[in-house]
Amino acid sequence: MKHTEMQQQLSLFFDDRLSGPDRSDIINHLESCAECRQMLSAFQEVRLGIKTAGSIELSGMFASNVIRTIRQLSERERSWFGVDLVARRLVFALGMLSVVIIGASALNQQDSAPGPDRYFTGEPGDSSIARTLLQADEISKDDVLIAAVVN
Amino acid sequence: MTTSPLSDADLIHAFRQGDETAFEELVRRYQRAVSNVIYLTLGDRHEVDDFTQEVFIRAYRSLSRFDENATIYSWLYRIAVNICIDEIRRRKIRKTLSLNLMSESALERERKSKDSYSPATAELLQAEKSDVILKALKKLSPAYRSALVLREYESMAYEDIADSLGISVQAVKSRIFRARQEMRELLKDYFEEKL
Repeated sequence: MKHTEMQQQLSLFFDDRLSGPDRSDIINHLESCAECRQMLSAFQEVRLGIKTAGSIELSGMFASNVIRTIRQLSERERSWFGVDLVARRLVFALGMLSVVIIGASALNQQDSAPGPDRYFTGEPGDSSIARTLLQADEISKDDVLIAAVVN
Repeated sequence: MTTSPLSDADLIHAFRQGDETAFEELVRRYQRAVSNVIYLTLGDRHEVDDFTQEVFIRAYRSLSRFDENATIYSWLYRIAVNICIDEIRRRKIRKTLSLNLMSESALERERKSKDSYSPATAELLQAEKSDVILKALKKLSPAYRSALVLREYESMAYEDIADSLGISVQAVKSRIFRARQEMRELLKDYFEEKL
């Protein structure tokens, strides 16, 4: 077995996952290979280091705090799906209705706004102006001014 | 007459029957292990309480769907590791880490401490060693780190680690080996001093 393959096996050997000839090969190799012995020591150091680094101790009340938090969250969710939800839906619906009303009135204003475009239909100037003026219920200053400019 | 403690399966069963205290007992049973896995995976103490709590809240909400044939600790670790990996991504820890694994001053302190050994300095040495190991762990990719922590801190079997991380046993072997290789490389200077 090559040295690099042996190193891969070393990790399994360290975790006691080798048996039979594979295990014997590693043991024999370790007797003659200082680098692998050093690697094994490094694995051991890392293991001890990680074990001792894990030193967190939570408070004795942690478990009951978790349960209390869960209860609070559940209550909050229940209120969200209960009476509060109806109120929130009502506010949302009113908001949406306001948006629709404002939008519709804005569109309506745009459609009804008179402008000079109605005189420029592409037809001969006189007949178009005459038709427009005759159809109008009231004649504004703008109508007279535009008719004068076009003529 | 003494009663034997309830098994995890008994507690899960009791919880499913509506006994909330059974869940509280599960929290007590695993809070230390879960919090330390989170601590070692994230590499700092900040918010360990909050993340541990998050693990148990998620567990509480999905315990009704938990497969009774699975092991509860593998499942809890899976939740913990997922939370940690999300957190690591969020913080982008790897990008902001200091590249100085072992400062010269730390090495110097250790050299001096060898000459003046006492129980108090032994504690300091231990604390420093933990600090060095944690810094090295933080430099590993989350995938390698979580596999190594579950193996070295929790002494979990490869099969359980595979179950917790949702990967094959072959992938676990590979990740643990590579994690150890990287740790050895990262801690080379430290080991040269020690060995």
